[in-house]
Amino acid sequence: MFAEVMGGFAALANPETFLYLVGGFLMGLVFGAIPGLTATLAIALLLPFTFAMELTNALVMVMAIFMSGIYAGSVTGITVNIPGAASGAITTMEGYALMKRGHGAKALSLDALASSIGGVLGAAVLMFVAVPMSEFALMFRTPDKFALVFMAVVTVVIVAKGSIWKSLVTVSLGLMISTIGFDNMVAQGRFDFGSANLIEGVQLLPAVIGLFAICELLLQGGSKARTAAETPAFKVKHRDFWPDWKEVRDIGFWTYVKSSVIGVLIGMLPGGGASMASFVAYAEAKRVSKKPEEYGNGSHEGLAAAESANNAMCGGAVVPLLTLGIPGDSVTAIIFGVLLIHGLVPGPGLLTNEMATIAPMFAALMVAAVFVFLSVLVFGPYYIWLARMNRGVLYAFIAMVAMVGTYASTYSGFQMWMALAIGIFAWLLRLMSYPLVPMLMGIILGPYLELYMRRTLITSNGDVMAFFTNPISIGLYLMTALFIYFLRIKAPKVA
Amino acid sequence: MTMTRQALFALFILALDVAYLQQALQLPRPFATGEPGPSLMPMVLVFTLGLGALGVLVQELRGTAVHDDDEDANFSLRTVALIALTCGFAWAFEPLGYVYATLCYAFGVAWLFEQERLGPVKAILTSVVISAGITGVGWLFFVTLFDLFLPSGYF
Repeated sequence: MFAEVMGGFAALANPETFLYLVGGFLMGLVFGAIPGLTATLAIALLLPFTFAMELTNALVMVMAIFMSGIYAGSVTGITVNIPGAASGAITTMEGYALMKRGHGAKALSLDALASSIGGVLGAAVLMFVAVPMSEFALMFRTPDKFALVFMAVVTVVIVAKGSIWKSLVTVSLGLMISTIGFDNMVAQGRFDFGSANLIEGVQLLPAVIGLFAICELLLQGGSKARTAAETPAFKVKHRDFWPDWKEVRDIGFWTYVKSSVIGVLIGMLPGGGASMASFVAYAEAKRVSKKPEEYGNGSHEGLAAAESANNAMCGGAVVPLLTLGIPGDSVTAIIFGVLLIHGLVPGPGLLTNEMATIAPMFAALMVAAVFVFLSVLVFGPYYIWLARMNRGVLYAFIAMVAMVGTYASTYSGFQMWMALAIGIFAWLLRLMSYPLVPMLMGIILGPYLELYMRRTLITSNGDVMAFFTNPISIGLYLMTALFIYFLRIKAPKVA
Repeated sequence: MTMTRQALFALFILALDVAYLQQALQLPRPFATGEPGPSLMPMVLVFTLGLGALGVLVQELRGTAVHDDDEDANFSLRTVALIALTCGFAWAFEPLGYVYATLCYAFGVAWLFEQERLGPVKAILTSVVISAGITGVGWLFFVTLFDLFLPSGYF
């Protein structure tokens, strides 16, 4: 395994692959930092291009976008009090307080260092945990696989922000969309209304483009441009971004490590995501802090804890995707699509059979985490520009890539209409504050949930107790119950 | 007890659920041939969607719903115009070809955002430049760099 992981790093030495890594990193940085845009959108827009990319380049680029996009969510939060993504909300609270006191460069520097440490630790955990977990997953039988997918679906519903009823609606809608088309076990079309296009089912690409790109375009249509007063000037020099090592020592190595471990564990949880990781790590750091009164008023410790967890989550989120075939959030759900496009099926057999192909992903995640710290030294003084980017250019570009990308990768005008229809429906759902991530997870996990449910019932002659007889299944159902208790009934609070 | 827009939307979801159920009932019934069959999962989903929508509806009618509205999510005429433009683009893409369709579409989208900053007349010029640039960049990426097919139109 060690040799294959090293082979992953060696793959990055290929100039073309390295260029994709840098390109992905910059793309994630821009999309993550611009309020309203996210790493998910960046990867969604990249999806059509991956059809024509070499697999290694596609995976490396996606990983770089993931790492830098999650980090950059906090950049405009610190500089202009507008987080680029929800995951940057806690960092914004602490970082902007420092910015107002004239310590903006210091906040950005601590933010980048913590993100780098978290990202590197998360990638390291991924490298060590993925293969053993994958080997364990090979023991899963069909009822266990059903229990696993069921756990993912339930967890996605309970961790989604807002009303649990609304999450239930959107995950059900996603699962319903997955039932459209030819039945995967008997020769029977379903919900296709006699259309030759619908009989193939709803493809992942137009669904992702609709849910994240078209929907975002329509949402931005309803939002006003920010004024110059909301994005004030920020004049600093490159050297201001070197971290003050005394402050780093004050924060303490243990804070970084503990927050990173929290981030990795939450990343492994289906639906966990960066927001929850930063939230829980921040709450834990505050609980044990010697200076809890500083939290909320520019705490270095709080900022470091939130950001370490944020980026450590990236490594954790990839673990269930590669080992169990369960995407943990919207980004890994799209990575799932990238793997499928290239004929690789995420799941227990992937790492045992294709480790050499997947290893560059691990290496890219770690190298991108190191780039995070380097990026603030290079681009720090220019971060303010990201919040001022021309909206006409930005949204015309997103609209073009979304629609043309859908056509170019499917050669079908119908799929453009499908992306648009899903986008309009997703926009309506967002207008009504329904979460969209459960819908995407439903679309992706639906075929597996149905397949394992039906196979279990067929082999047991319809006996539903077959779902509850294997120790692994029972363990997974108990974990589901625990998640419901800890994440919904007894959810952690920051205040 | 008032009918809020949230309650109305929950009713819309319920209507979708009924339409889905109507289609699901046309499939062979679960276990009709001894196997779960293609309609078992849809039947389960009819139940879960209905449960979710009813949960939202009841909370809204009782006034116990907690609204955590998305601050970015507003309805505006610009959104309607964006939908219309995108429909037009999807319709004209193959007949007009990539270049002309994208020039028009990118111009329209850019103008809708630029007129807010520059005013309707000045925005025309910048939008022309933006749309030309984006069409060129799109061609560069899709065709030159990634060797993907884009239509050249019927004319």
